Amino acid sequence: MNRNRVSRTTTQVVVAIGILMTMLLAGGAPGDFANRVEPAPTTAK
Amino acid sequence: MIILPLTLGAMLLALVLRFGATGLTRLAASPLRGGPVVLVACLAQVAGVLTQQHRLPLQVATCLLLGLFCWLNRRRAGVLLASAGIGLNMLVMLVNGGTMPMNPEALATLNGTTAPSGSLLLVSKNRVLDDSAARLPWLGDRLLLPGPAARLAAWSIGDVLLLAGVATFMWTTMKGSNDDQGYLWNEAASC
Repeated sequence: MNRNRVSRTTTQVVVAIGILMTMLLAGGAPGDFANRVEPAPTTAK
Repeated sequence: MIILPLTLGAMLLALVLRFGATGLTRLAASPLRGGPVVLVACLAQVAGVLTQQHRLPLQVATCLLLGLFCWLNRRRAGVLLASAGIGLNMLVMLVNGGTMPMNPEALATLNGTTAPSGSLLLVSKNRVLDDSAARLPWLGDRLLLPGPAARLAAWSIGDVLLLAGVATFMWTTMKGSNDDQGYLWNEAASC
């Protein structure tokens, strides 16, 4: 029972952190891939 | 890419050291609403970054979905601050064709690359733009950490607000209303 509770809490923490990280990524958070960049050959549409 | 999990991981570690397992339990018990919404917003952003096509419509979609996510969680601590950061980032990207302007000097400091103004960066939301060519350039990626840490990432003002909002959310949620019970050293002492 206790193990189930720990497992559920762990899952909920992982989901919470995942949502925060996803929000940061979608919101334009820093660094995404910018430390390994090359100029793209074409311009954006 | 490394800076994002690194920053969030450092925040989480500091807060776990401060509030112990109780803090994690509180975080688990207070989920944010609209997880699928923010996931779709992220997918739209990633699609634009990977394909470098249709950046502006994908940016508009991301903007609307993130706006919905922030609205759903508007009463949570830190979300207003994070929303302001997201808003600034979305604004500067929308007025620059769906791309985040990056100052050429910041790019050169970041990885030693020099690229002509107007260049898109592969697998990135950024476009290299001189201040004279960018709209609202002061909201773009141009802030660097001091010393060797400058090579980690270029930050915008919106990024700073966004991270401050997430830090406020995590601090407030993990602290709870009575954090005296949650100190790691109290838990250790009670064992």
